[in-house]
Amino acid sequence: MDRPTPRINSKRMQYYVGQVVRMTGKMLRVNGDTAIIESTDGGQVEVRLSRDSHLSDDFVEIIGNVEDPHTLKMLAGCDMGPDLDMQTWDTMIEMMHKFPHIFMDPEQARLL
Amino acid sequence: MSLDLTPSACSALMQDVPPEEYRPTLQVLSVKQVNTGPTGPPRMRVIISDGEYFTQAMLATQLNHLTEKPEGGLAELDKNTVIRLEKFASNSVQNKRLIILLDLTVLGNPGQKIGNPASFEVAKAESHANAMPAPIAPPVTIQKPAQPAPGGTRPASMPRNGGPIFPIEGLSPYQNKWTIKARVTNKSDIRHWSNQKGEGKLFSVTLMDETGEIRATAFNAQVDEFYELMQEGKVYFVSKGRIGPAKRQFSNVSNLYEITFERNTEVEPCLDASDVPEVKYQFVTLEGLQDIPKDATCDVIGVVTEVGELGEILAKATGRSVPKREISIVDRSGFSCRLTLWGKSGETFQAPDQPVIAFKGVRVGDYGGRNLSFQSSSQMSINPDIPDAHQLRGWYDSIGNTQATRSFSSAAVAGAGDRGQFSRSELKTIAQVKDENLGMGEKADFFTTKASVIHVKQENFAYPACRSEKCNKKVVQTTDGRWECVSCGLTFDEPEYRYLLSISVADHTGQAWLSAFNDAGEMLFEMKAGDLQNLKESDESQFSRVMSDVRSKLYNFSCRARQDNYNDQTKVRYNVSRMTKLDFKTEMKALVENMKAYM
Repeated sequence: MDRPTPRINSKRMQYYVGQVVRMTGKMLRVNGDTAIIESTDGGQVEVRLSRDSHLSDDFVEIIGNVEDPHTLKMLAGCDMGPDLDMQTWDTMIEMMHKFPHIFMDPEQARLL
Repeated sequence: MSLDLTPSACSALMQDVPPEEYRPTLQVLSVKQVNTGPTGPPRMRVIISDGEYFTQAMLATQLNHLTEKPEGGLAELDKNTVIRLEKFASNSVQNKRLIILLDLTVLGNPGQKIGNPASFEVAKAESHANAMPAPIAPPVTIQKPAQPAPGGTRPASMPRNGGPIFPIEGLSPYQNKWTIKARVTNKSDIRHWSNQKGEGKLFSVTLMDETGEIRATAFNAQVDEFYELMQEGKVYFVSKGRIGPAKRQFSNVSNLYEITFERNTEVEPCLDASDVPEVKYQFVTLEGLQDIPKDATCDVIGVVTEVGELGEILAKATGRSVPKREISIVDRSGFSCRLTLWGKSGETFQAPDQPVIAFKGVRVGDYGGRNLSFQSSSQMSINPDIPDAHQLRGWYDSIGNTQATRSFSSAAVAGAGDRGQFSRSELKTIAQVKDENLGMGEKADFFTTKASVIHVKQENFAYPACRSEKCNKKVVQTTDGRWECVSCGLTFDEPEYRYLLSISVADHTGQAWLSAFNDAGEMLFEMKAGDLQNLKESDESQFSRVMSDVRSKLYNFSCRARQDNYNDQTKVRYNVSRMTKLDFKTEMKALVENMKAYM
């Protein structure tokens, strides 16, 4: 935890392979130890859940390692409640990457 | 990444029917801001090249941010940048084709011009030396214009006086030789007036082309000349009218100027209307109406769920009765709104089968929270053939008609319902409230603010009040231990305690003391004043806990600022008329909007 964890959406996954990121999204389905979440920009991401994950809400935030542009290996996660405005959240992510020095190491940002 | 430009891209883009799914690689030769007048976002004109030819294009405003230069450096989209065009639109303006860049990907910047491109327009003109400058008017089979185009030999799409076709955007009193080609989007009825100076008649139209709108009015003799000729929805050449400043109290068309038809004004029907757009809408959702201030105009689209009976109202101004009809519309935001149709529009209104109606230029009022008013300058289009209408139809037919709708006057539900009366347009920071000396004038000032509670005065947070409905006056204790109301004359065994709070609130700009009353107190403490009073007497520590729990709570306050004379001291008092909990979704959206102004 020595570096801040950038918040990303699904279209940025490809730039963070091998890095730890945060992604917020809507739980679409859970199959045992994998889950599919819909990221705030609409793209779907597969999450390999950690052993002790206990997510129950419709909306969650996952901190994880990007294994490939579509898969996140979960390190930790938390429930974000039953209702989240995905569009505004995505706008927030775009703004965070536009003004990165407040939210992360500026070199971690990806303006798309 | 290859920076090879797509060959023949310019000629492909400039075709009348450009190819679909076409994503050519182009180089930008220059980026320049064009003058758009005092309002509206800046427009950037871009010269794009395929290495062989170059041509002009306009950048869609959503891409304007790419042209911003960081201090002294190059913008993302700048001279010599190579781009891949992802999405574009192609419009015909004054017989010239204009490309609009809607979406693009910046590939790189080689720092120099690729190839030696020549102007595409010049090359095309030279190779079509004998082409007819105007397209032939398409055969009109369904609707014939009211009068046949005068002169049979020349094509009906060229104006008679031969002056160049001006964009409406370019009209000003400094131009005298102009002709516009525009569609009548609104025609008013003939109005008669009579005052000390005499009497007369007039009618007005709103004219629109792809660059803008302008209002035009004809008086007296010109009414006879043009009223029958000009019809809504049709396109005309208009020239030799007088351009003057716009009279804002009669029109809400956003143009600094307006046209007056004079004796030598010429209006000719135009058969080739293919390059004049139909009505342009900028829809607001019904939910979003809350953020539009009273008396503003806007466009909405919705499904008609209810049509009221035709009623009559006596107009105080003229003493005449005016027909009035109310309808209800809903849209996908889940909100329903009442819309009032006045006069003829109410009389002739028909809406079978819950149609989708698009309204342009309806006025926003705050009756019952928010309501809409169809004015003489408003327009409606029933079941228009536009994507918004199709989407609404699909939504309504599948789920919309069974969904519970929220309306602006619905009873407040804790946390979500009060939004209807929270006026974001009067939102001020505490610093602004103080700097603008609100409340220090003759009249009371109203404002709203989003602030956190810092402290509540613990002494005298409530007072004993009269129990009779509507009378909340303080009651005094009588000699036999009962409570008497001075104004009503009634006596009670027990008073009803009501909150009278002095609360200190603050935001990031400053601090202020507000006076809050019973409703606000009950929302703040989540208990009645009487219960809190009892708690104070019975359980001190619990009371302290309740008092400290309210600190740092964030609310939207609707306030009234007024000067008060108390003990010979004149002070400004800020009274809370309404306190609402924050709906985070709405607040987030409002914050994003504010932030966009800085981006």
